[in-house]
Amino acid sequence: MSATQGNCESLSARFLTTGLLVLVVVVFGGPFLWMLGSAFTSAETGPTFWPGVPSLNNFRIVFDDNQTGMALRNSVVIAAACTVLATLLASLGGYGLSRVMFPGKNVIVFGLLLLYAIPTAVTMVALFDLASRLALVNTYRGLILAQTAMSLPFLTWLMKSFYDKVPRTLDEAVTVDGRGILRAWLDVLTPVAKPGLAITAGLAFVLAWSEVLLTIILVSDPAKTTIARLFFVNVEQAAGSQVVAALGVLYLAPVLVVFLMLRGLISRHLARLRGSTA
Amino acid sequence: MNDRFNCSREPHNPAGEVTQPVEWPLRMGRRSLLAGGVAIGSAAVLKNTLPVHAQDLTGTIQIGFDGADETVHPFVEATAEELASSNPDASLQVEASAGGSYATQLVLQLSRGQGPDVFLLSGVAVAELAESGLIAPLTRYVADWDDWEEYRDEFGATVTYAGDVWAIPYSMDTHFLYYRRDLFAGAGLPDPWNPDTPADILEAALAIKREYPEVIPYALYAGANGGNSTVVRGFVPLVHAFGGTLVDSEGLWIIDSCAIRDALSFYEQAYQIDQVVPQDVMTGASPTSAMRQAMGDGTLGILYDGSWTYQPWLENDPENTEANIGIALFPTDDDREPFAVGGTGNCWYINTSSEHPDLAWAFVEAFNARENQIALNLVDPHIPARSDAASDQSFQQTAFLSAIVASADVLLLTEPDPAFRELITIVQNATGIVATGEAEPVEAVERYASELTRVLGEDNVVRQTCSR
Amino acid sequence: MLALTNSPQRHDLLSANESLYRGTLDGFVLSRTSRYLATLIPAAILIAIFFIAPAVWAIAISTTPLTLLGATAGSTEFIGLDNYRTLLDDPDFLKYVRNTIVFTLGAAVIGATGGGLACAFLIDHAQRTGNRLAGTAFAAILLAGICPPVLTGAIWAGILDYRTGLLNSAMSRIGLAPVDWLGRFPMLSVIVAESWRSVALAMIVFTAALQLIPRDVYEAARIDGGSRWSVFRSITLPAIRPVGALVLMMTTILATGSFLVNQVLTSGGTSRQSETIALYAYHVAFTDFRIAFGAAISVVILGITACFALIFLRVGRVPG
Repeated sequence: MSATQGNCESLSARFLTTGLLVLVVVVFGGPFLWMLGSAFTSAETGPTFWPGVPSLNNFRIVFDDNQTGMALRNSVVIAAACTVLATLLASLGGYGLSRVMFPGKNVIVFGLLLLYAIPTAVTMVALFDLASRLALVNTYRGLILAQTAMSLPFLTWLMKSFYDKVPRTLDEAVTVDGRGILRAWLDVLTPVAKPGLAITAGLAFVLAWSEVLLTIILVSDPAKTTIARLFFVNVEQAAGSQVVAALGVLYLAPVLVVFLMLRGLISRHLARLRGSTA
Repeated sequence: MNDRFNCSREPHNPAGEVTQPVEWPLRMGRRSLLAGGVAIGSAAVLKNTLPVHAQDLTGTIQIGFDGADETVHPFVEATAEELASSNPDASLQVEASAGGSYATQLVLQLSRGQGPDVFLLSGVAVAELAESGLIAPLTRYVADWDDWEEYRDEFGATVTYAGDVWAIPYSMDTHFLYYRRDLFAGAGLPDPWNPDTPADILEAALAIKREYPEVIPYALYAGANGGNSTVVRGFVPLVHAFGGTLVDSEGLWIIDSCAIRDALSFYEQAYQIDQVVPQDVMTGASPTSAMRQAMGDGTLGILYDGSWTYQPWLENDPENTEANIGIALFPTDDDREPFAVGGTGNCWYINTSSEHPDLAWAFVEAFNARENQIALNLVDPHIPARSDAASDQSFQQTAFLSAIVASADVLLLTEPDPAFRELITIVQNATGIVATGEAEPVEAVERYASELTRVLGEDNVVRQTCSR
Repeated sequence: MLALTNSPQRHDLLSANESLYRGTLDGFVLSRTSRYLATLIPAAILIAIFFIAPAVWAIAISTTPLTLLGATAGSTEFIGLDNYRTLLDDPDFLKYVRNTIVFTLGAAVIGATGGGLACAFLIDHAQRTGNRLAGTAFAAILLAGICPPVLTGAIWAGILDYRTGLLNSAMSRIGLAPVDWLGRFPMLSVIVAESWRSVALAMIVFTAALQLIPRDVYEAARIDGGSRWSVFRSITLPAIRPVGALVLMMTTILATGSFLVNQVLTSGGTSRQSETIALYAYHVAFTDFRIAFGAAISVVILGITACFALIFLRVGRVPG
């Protein structure tokens, strides 16, 4: 940011800009602070922004249930596996989708994305049926495969748009046979790897971590429950209570880590864009 | 989610909606209160009291129930152990389901010919499960079971459909009008309070509203957010109070009657005219648990709810509860006696696909032993389904418990009907539009009539003309 | 979408986007590129089994009376379009359609896309003028964007609650009477909460598009004496218009199918003032176990989404 540019703006305009930015920060960030505040407030005082006496009571109640720890562990395992699998397949498939050419390709891709309009609640009978035939009910395996499949159309399409940016000439020479394609994928992967893969992986994680209905459909074993489901069950009954806020903090924490990683990446990426046009 | 299976709106506790402490409805809250004391104690009682069963039962069965229902868990374990020890060749696996979607999971499994051999679920589902062919009729077992005599005829009728018995309840639901005595005293209202007519409820609520503008005078459930409570704790008692029924003596659903009109007018009076039920009662994320909490906190004047909701108040704050929460029966509009809305509580069902139904039945029999029903209904206050359990002296220990068993004589029960599920949505719609002021009661009655007719067909409904 | 920003040149941004509608480039035929199909196989298998098959099943099952409970439990007898007729006969169906359109316009078009564009302008401007809050604002929006839907619903339920909510307690502090937000404005509440978490996607894409506009282009335009409006029309609009269509399409697809925020926040409202078709499908299938009827409803959602998406694609198509 050059100093000369900053000076272009009049004082009042600068004031306005700052005011609007503060508004944005309050509207989008405030709710999280409020949840955090509530989570650390004991139930008697009611939800607040800033607990006078911070209390870990709500977290103690949450962890008194051994399901919470178990659910957190399950969620980490499932979301991590989904992230690896989905990123790998979306990256590979996205590459092919970017390079393969046939009439109506984009119509098919578009049609596939539209199928997201059919909610899991409706397809649950088919999903459960499939899962029981494939012995996937009450297994990590089942949740990982189904969740990965659910996010793949979107993630593959996202990866494809990254590969679309890479000139064909880079990989055309390499692709002579099947192995050549894999090598080309790896070669091409490198230049786009940083933003593309990381953003895809981050989204894959967030999607898997958030998923509720799939767990409800495919899991009845309490030992296989997830934090998303635990939160959903409790929020349906006592949204706004401080204990639910504490559970919400646990639900959000890993997503927050992903966020911190993504944030740096995206801002650097955007900064680079600006650098290239300056 | 499957709140239609619930008598309340606690999704993870389809039948035994009892276990929820007011503040923290997760199973975790319950444990600290019960695990050390009562529950384990009652399981110990079981050891000595269970009848010894035949020694020749074989096979392996799975016993399913909602894992969120912590009250029933030790009882299931104890019965299974007892039965297994007296039948060395039998294996009984207790399978607590993950909280939150027990009914969904169960129904998905049943529909694929899987699922536990014997399972607990609310009695609300009897007719639909029977029609779906997913559960086995128990008539032949009941015929050989002497203890069935201990079930009142009207209790048995709530699990009988198309001539067969389909489920065995261990408890029956009953309801009270709970009122805050501290607020009543402050508003100059009588204590004990025994309203003569439904209008008295509104009058008391108005008095509270005048004296305490900051509290919620009355929680009358309406609309979709109330789940099943809108029907069971809102519309049904009102229709009965105004002298009507939902189904006539020939089994036709009544689409219009003076009582239905009066009930919906009562909603208008409560929500729109007197405004003693603030709109936000129905718009919170979880109205039933919020209102239970408010009653315990003393920020709600009057609430119609199940007998089991009293237990968490008592456990959280015994002194305050005994001093400040009063109970009354629901009044009628004329000189008929006051009543309590009843319902079939938790029932045991046997899966059609079970390979060992005899063993499953032996479990059901053992679970429903008299002592077991007494112990279970003491920790989780309901009317024991067996009369010889309800008449036990331990239910005379407190005024509240004796009121529960006494209400068995004035219980308003509905026989199983697969249309009940459709009724829930229809009642939610009719009461919802009146409560929000979107429609007049007359329009809501028309709405009720046309939706019932559309769903059930012209031949299954009847209009009772109301000359008023 | 983010990848659109990966290009060093603006030219690529447009061409990549165009190819989405145009389909194939004439120079490439399947035979020359078919060897790439192998890379799609692993993803395609998973998608076919767990994504396409259940969806196709749902469309097929919408012509049967299938439920999980009751007399029609397990029945897959062909009943033609009866479910669709039932849906049309439902006096509330039009209400749900209207709610869905209001919700989609509010949350996807105005909230996510409009809000995202406004935030992008603000942040781009702040960055160009060196305002240090720009990064914080960007981060806050991004954080909201990855908040799980159920948590979003819960947080906003806490904020908008009549008695204990943040908004009303803040209002009472400055002497305003509390408002029953969820009761009086259920649809608005849901739109706000849904927009809150979907602004991020649009904002990122728009910010990227705006940042690609070279600084000197603006300066040159100003020196030429162009008014703000003409600078906007000749420089800014062409830069954001193509990605705008994509953003509209994605936010619309996401919004029409979204129901979890709504379920947690209002459950559809006391008299179903905020019940959208997607939420209705959820209630019918998940709460009532009326699977085939739920499937018929979701086919209608599919149709509505397709209509919205096609309209936006057409609007965004770059002429020439």
